[in-house]
Amino acid sequence: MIFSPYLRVTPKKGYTLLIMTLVSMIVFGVFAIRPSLVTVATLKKQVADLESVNESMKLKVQNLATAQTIYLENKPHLYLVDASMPDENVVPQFIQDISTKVALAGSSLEAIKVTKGGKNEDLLEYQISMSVACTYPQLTGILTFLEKSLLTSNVTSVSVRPHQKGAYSIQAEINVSLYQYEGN
Amino acid sequence: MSRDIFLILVFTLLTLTAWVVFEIYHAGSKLYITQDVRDLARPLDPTLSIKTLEALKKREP
Repeated sequence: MIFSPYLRVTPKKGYTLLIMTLVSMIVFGVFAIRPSLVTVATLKKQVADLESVNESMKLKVQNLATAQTIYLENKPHLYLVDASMPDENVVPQFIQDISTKVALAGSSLEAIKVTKGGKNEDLLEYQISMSVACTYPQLTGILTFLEKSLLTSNVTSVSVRPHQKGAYSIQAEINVSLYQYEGN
Repeated sequence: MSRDIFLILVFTLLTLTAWVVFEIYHAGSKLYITQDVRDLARPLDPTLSIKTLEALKKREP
């Protein structure tokens, strides 16, 4: 037999056994141990990832239930949020509101100037400059109206000087910042 | 001759061991969640600013 010396002569026999052992370990390692270990590692990582997703989803479901409760409690007043910061152009509505208010107060809106300001995150800002001829009580009425207006606005400055003609005693320059929602 | 084969097989076994270790590390460090699922699992803040709503109620003409 051709393999006889490798199995009978002691030094060769030792090497042969070692070589055969290593060959079997390598073959077994490549075709059995490696795929099994990789599959185990993959599945363990998948389980860990999906468990973390499951925890996040459970928390989200809880938060959704809480949110639903809060929103149902406040539903009658939620229209105020949309009314205060509509996602359409707010300037025509503002001008209409202020014109009506000034007319009802018996004052005179002599000039109005609108400048588009910068955009800050989701908010678009308009700078509105108005010139109103009125009396002092009428001016306080207009400012109160601006404070109470649902549109999100901010009276940035008011300057008053005596009025020269007509029944009005003062000329007021009112500067207002008006905000519009531009998100989504 | 037999010694050379033995050495080659020893180094082959070492290489195989390193391969297995790196593949296990790779399998353990890979993320198995898709971007869609990650977007779905993003936390949701259920709070509503009641203070703002109260302020708006006061502004209501």
